Amino acid sequence: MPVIIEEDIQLGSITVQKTLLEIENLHVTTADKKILQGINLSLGAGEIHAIMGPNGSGKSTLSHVIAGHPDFKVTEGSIRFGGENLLTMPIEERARAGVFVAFQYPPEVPGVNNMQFLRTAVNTVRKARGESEFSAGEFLAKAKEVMARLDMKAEMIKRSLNEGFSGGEKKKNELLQMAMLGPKLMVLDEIDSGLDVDALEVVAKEAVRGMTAEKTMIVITHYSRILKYIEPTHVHVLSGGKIIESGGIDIVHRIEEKGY
Amino acid sequence: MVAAAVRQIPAETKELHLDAAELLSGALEIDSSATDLNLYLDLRNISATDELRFQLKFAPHTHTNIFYRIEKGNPHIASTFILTEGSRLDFFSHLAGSGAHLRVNAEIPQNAEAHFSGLTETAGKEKAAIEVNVHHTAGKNLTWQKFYSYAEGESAISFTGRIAVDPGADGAVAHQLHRGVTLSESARIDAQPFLNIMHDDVKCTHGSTVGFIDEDALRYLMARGIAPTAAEEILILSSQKQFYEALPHEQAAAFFKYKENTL
Repeated sequence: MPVIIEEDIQLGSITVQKTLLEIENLHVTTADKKILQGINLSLGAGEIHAIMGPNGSGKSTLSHVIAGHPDFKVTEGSIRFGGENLLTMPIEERARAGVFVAFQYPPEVPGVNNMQFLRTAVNTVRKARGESEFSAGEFLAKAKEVMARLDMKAEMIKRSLNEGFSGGEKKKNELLQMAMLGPKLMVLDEIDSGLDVDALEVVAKEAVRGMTAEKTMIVITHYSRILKYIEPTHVHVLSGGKIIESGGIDIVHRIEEKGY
Repeated sequence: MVAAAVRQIPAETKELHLDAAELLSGALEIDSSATDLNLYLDLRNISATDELRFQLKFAPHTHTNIFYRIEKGNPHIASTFILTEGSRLDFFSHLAGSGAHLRVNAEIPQNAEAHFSGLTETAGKEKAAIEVNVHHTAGKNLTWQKFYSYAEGESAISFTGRIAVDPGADGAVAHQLHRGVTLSESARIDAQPFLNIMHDDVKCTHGSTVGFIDEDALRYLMARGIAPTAAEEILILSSQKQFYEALPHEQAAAFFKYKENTL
């Protein structure tokens, strides 16, 4: 049974940080197929957890469950976020509480203007947090700043949401949303897929930029290359719907050399 | 119903607002020589048991925009548009909160062009019907039908789109597109395309989809904190933008009460 720490604890010179996300004995099925079969994970504030594994191991299922996708049924176990039962929270409430999943395949939404959508989302989340809403000018200035860091063309913000975006542009747009929303829990679901070397570095650096001692990040990936830029504090290997190994960066090095 | 005298519209006329009373008083016939006319028909809270008939004939090489706004009534309207050599018609209809039946007939001769666009929204137990009959009497011409239907509650929308191309209509081009979104389990949208093509050297296409709102898109917006009802509204408005963005000018947008600041 993992220990849930609700506040930071100081033990001499060591600070044990509070648990932000607690996954306990998580079993998930989709289309009557068992995918996750007893996942246990405890993520503290300030930690970056890499979840690696071969195709079909259940990595993306975990991100879908965190995001609240109704096609993935939790048959057993629990997920607590900031002490609250995440699984009973509606999708939009999760986002407002600070959960952000950067999707592997963000959908294209024709007709919905990227900027107006994002401003609506940001102001909705800010309002829920008790913060003042961004004016159009404030929003645009901040968005332009992030877009410049992500090397996004200015016209991207004016286009329909993800419509006609390349794979790399979609991933950058996910990171733009993440930076603007400022979530506590960031889940990057194979954010490295479809990115060239330069875009990978830009995207990874932007993700790291959003990390603070108060936040937690999950990086779901097949490959070690993104972990050169996002250094994980913890590494887990998922296989057959179970975590078969947890440890530090040395696991990544071994997978790099010997594969799964 | 009594046919009134043919009304003439002179060449210099730019704008004409048809009075509902004119239609209610009897079948209306208009000959238009206007080179660049905007014709508005505003039918709100009109209920009529008889079919209101309206015929408009366009002089050669003229351009006419026609806008129908039909709300909160249940009129049955039959409009016949007779195009001539080199004339162009752009027709827009918006039916909302209405149990209206709208029938549009158009005769398309050589070198004529006609675009028909419609947005229909129903709710409650309303039943709206749109029927478009496009008749290419000759070739080297173009027609487009683009109709969007949104039904919620227990309402129903029926769209019937006919394209007829006569023998010998070389180079006739006719397209038809219908998109329907049902916003509740009980809402119903029927789309029936009929193509009667009597000549080989023509280009005719038709496409129709009817379904629920895109669940993936809805969930994506919600995953960024937007409430389900707001997300649904954003998706509906963005989809309806396809109709509004085709309007030729701001007066037309104002006529349909379109607010551009929506998503």
